Amino acid sequence: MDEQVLWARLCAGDSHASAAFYDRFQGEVNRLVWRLLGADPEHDDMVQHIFLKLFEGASRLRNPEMLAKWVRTVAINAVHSELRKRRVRRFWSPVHREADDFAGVASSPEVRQLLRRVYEALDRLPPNEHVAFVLHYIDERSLLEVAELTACSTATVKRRLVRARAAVAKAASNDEALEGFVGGGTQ
Amino acid sequence: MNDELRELGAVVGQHIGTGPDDEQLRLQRHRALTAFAEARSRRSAPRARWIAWGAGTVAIAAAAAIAVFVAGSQPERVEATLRCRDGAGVERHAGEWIAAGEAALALRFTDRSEMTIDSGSRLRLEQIADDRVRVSLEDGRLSSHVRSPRRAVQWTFLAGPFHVEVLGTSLSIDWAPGAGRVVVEVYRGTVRVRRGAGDAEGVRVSAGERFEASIAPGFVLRPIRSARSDEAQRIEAPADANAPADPAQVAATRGAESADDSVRAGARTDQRDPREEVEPWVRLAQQGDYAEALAAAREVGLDEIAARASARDVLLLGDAARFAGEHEQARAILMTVRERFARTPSATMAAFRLGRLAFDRREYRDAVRWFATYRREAPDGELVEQAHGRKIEALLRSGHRRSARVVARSYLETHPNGSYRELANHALAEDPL
Repeated sequence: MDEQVLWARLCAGDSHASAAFYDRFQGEVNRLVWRLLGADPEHDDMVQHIFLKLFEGASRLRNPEMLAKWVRTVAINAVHSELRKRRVRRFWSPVHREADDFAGVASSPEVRQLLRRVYEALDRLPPNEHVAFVLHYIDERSLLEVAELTACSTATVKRRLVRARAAVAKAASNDEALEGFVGGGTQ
Repeated sequence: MNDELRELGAVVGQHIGTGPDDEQLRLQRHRALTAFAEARSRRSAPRARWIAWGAGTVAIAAAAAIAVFVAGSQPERVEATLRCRDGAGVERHAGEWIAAGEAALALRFTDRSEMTIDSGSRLRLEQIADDRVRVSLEDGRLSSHVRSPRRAVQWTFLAGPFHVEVLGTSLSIDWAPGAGRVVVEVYRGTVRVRRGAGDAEGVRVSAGERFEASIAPGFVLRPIRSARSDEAQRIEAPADANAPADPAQVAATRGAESADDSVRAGARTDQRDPREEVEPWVRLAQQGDYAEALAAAREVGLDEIAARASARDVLLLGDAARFAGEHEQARAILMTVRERFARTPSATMAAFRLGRLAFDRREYRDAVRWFATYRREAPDGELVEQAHGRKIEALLRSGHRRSARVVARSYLETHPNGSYRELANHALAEDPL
């Protein structure tokens, strides 16, 4: 079904359209949330929250041709907002990731440990830098794409990536799992 | 440095993958779509009560027109064998019991007919054949849009002793077995309601009309905004009708029995007398205007209500606070019920709602504790299956997978066809053994 037709039917309250919409974008939203949050225990809640936002906000979309981009932007903004809340919560009550969080993702203990360390390092970054780092390095999107998805200029994305790189390198200097990748240095 | 990070990113991307496994995606899809259906019905319900019935009917007619337009734009494709699937795409068979949990549950038939079971409601698919579908609404509310072309399929809904035969229509049916009361609303087309199979005539209810009846000596058609509104039809029921004969039940408002489990789970035993003066906050809460209800209750004084009102009203106030998003307030009110009405069914019901509240707040350990309290205090309670299932979910979410597996096993032994069986199986599937 054409995306514009899908959008029109969704706005008309067609229940088939909500299922079709979900099926169309489930993969994209899951991929973004999964990679941004890192096999998080609240992944499903986050995806559900995003789809409710999408269903409810569809009628406010002005340009239905941008439906796919709008979906990605809503997903990223929702995760960004969640990261911000978590940062505040962590200030009062620190939460540490466990390698077991990645048990369903990787069978090798070394890989689980690596994933845990990477996402722990990302958790310590400001949300803007966290999002930029994941989209650029893990999801392998171009600077221009990251800039579009996060509604900022490429110069801003570059600045965020520079800061994120420095923070990850610093974390790697004290971490065996990461050291092999970033040379343990702060070049 | 940049290249090293690219390599690190690629390794992370390769191992982390693109999302959870298919089973989790399937559950996720089911939850998201039912949550959306529930949110949509919650949003539209209070408004519908505020707007005059005429405007409501116009809106429904418009929705039906859109549905017809959309349906009309699709190629007519009716499969030879009628089948039924739920929102998760799982095929449902004749003889199967289906219960909607916290969220509404949608069923879709291959003749493009649809049915939505409200949260907390349950039904049995008695028969699904090429020429007939027979659904028994055990408790709660369902709405249906029957689209069988040229009435090729005869649809019948059973609600207690009432048979609702569909003659091509959109309708909803409420059945409260405790009160022995049925409410049928027809949005499009016509239905015939019979009092049992032996009632040859029955009552025809057309679009825009509403039929209410109880298992009392007689049932009365209560039209809404039909040209025939002053022609209320009446059929005498058999003299040996076995229900408590309170004619006032027939006139009871729907608001007194919302689809929410506030009534479903215990308050039904202490039905409000319709002649009783209802405080504004109670009326607002029953209408689903929770924030307004809470504001009105504050004018009276929340402590005052919690200290003096009946258990039913204090539970209702707790619901209003919960649905208005005032979780701390809701918790305090429900704790008052636990203290003031200790060792009563109301206190047990408060335990269940405290569990739901804790779950909503992602305080999963508390949720587990309260659901366990409910099961301990009401081992045969109406919501014991839900409490059991929700406990599995809370344990999974709090990362207690081993405990979740233990509870899942006991759930499947006790409720093999329960509405949480997929979740229980999912929990067991994680068992490394």
